[in-house]
Amino acid sequence: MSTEPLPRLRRRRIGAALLAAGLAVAGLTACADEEKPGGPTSLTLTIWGNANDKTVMDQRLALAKKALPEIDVKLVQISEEYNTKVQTMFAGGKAPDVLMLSEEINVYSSKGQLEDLTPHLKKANVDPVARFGQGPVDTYSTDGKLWAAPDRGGAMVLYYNKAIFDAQGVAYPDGTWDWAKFREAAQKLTVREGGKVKSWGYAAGDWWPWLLTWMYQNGGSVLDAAGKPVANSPANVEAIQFYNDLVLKDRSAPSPIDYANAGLSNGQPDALFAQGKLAMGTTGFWNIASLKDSKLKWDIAPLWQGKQKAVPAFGSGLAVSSQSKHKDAAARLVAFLTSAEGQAPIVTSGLDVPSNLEVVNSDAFKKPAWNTTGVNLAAFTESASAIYSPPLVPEWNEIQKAYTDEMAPVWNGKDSVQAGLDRVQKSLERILS
Amino acid sequence: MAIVATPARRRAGSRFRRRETWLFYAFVSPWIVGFVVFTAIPMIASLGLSFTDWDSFSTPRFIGFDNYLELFTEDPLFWPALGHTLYFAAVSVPLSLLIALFLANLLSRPMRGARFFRTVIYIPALVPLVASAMIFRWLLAPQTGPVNGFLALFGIEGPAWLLDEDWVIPAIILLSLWQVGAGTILLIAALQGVPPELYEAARIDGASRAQRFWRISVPLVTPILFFNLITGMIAAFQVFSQVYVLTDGTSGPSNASLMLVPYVYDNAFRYYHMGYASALAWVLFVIIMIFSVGVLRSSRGWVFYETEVRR
Amino acid sequence: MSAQARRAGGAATRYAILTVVSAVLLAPLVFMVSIALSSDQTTRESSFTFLPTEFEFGNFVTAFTSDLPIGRFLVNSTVIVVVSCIGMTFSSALVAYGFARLRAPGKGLMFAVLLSTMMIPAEVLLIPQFILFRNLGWIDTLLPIIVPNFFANAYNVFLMRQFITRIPGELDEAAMLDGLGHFGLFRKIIMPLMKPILVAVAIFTFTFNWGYFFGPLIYLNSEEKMPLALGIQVLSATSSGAQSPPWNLVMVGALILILPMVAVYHFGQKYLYEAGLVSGSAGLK
Repeated sequence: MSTEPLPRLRRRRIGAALLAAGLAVAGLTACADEEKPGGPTSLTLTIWGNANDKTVMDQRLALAKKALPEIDVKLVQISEEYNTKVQTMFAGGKAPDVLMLSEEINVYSSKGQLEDLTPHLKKANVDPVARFGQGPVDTYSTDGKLWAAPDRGGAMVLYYNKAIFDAQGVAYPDGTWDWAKFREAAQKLTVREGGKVKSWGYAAGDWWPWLLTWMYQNGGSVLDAAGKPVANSPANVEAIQFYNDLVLKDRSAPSPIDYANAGLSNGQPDALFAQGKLAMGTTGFWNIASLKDSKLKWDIAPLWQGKQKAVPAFGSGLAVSSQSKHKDAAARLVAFLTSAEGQAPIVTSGLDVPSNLEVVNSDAFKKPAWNTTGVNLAAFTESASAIYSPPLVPEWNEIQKAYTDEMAPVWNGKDSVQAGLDRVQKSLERILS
Repeated sequence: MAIVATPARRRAGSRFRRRETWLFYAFVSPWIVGFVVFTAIPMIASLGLSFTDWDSFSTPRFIGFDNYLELFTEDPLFWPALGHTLYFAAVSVPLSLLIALFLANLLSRPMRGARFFRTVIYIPALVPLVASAMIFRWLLAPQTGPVNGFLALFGIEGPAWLLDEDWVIPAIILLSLWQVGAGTILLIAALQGVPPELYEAARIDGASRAQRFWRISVPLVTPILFFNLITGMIAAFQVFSQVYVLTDGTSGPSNASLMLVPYVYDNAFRYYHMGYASALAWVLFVIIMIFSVGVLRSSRGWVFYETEVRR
Repeated sequence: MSAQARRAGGAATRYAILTVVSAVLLAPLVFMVSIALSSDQTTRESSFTFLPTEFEFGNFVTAFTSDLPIGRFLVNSTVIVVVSCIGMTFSSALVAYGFARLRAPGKGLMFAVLLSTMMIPAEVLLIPQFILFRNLGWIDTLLPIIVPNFFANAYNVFLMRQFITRIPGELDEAAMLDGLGHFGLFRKIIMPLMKPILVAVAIFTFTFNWGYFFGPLIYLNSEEKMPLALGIQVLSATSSGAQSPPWNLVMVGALILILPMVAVYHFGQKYLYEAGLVSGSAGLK
């Protein structure tokens, strides 16, 4: 560990130095950012999100201050363009000490921008796999190095509208359905009136957690074990064909045009569900807060399964920047924030699924005070073991863009799934070459 | 005044020249200082970076003209992006100019409620794009949207707009035309400055309203039209936010609305190809420069200055 | 008589056209207001109606009663805008005068360079500029947002130059004969004539800086330094990419943001339009 990040660090410094030198040549004086000696260590933490996310993080930092009085944390909340701002901070040599990261994790890790947390957690007597589970640890690791401590967000689950199920005489989902049973249910649950769909059986879109779930459940994947793209493998073609048949053949799930007609962007099942116009949708924990006061009768269950179990998860982790002058303090802060104590406010506020398994399995999470309607929160706990790790390679954004662009005609029925995935494959080969 | 300058006079003249030169640089010094400090260095840095492979974190690696070569010969998206940008500019710039001129002409004459109408026309240009984009998505919904509903009154089946490869750019043009108000402000002011005596004289000579508009109003506001044309063109070539928010940053179905600056932005801040993004930006710079020089050249024929820029 | 009737008819047509145009331009705004007044439930369902059917004025209260220091944001915005307006109008007027009225070797090239600064996409300058401001020690201050306004910009210089060239040269000669130098001419003759264009540039600078959030987003970290355009975004943000934003609050934010701009334009236009941009036309007689 001690040898690997150092040369990378030096290279980056040289890069910044080159640019800085260019600027200094023009007569600009460089002011170093001095840290006052003595007194508490001052750390910067960047997070995205809204006012709620900020409030909860403030609560967690207040707890951190009690446990780690020698550390002061300046919270920087970035509501829009988080990635652009953080990238600029890094490139400009003003990186935050601790940062919230999700899909961009390996953009930073692959360029030597993050500190490996493994030795730090070891020093704090934290076993990452015991604390977070194997799946989340894998998501944020490469080559045995842990680049971020999983912090928020667990499995996505199936939200279902009980009233529609009751009216159509379909048994509630329980996580044991296979594809055939799911498809049949989706058809039965689609309510039509005068040839027009009044409410949909299922709804998703082209967001990666949904697409990858079909592929993974069918034994497919985006990249093979060696990291080569396999976008148009038979398993993937079959998986995407299955989803597209729900949309275009069965008409039991909305197409992009159907979404647009509802005034929505593609792939917003949450709004349809809230309208009572959707029987089933795959969504994360965040949707609970928006449904809590709804008049709908609803609950959640673990996802159906295909040839194998595969459940998407969407969340974020906390990473320590390799630019930080206080990596040790930063890592201690991360260790605290992901401890049972540090994660408690996530649960009490009903903000999200915490990453700490001890907390997820506790009654505090499964039976929180706010859960007055008896939502089956255990669905999150039960799904945890089936979470798959998406291939968050540094080129992840480009890969997603290739899917969005090349598959658009497929979703509208203008092109076959095979042809679309062939084009995706070609794009991925170019991107990853 | 002597027709042949004596040596003494020439010396005096050159002293006068030197003084005027000195004065010129004194007057423009705020810009020169600002340019050198805030703009020139970043511009040179980005030009330099365009010859490197840089992910914005590691050390930039010098690769000569590779970015430019890739852009022109290998990148499957550069030419479509350029084509879409030209299409957008070619349609939106003249249309906005004409509509702005038409509205400004209506609003420049004294009338009751003029101030109200002028404000109303300017408001759309002030609405943050996140908000207007959401509204336009709703207005342009394929079957349920009011725009297609309106077209249906005439038996026209409206397109799927943002979801249709052929109609996504026209939809973006509609959004930019909605914000045409910013361009009217200067034109209203300019038109109001046209001396009423000129109209009166033309009326006595029997000129029709259209003739008065084209022969008097328009020539007298050509400096502002020229300004709106140049700045509007540069802005159109750099269209970014409208595209980005209206199509969710996905550049529309099958890249049908991919334009150059969003592509620059994606490369710089989504794909971490900062060197390549810089090369794209400089190619766009040259393209805009060529078009601007063209318009500037042509302006000598149609822009009417009362006092031509001296010498 | 017939001329008068024609004129009245013309006025009616003009009102008719303007009413239709205004209706088309305002329709999206009506929808905006309707969304801003929608309940959270309607927002979650995204079942908005064109005309308001709900009147949740509480949404506007939410913005002000949240933990957000909205008052502080307003102060910051005002400071940025006022100082920027002053800096921008004066510096641009000076520079524009130089380009319009003085000759010097290299002037053509200078003007070309000036215009070319508009032509490079700002996105690729972001990181070099960030490094520059970091080296100046300006990160997390308002300086990167305010100070550049004191050094003119291409758009405004170009606009003012267009305007100054419309002022007849005879005025200059008369002033010169009176013994005024260029600075005196600029201050005593040209500046007063430029009032409408100064107002125009001030309005543009105001609206640009009032609504500008990207620069503040990049350069500011502390909430207490943020302008309104950036600060209120936290109200309408989402915590994950899969969520759709609370559109009612997005629209509330947008309305709070544009209201001052509309007011400034509505009341400022008097000064902009009273003289007209060809104010030197007296010399045309």
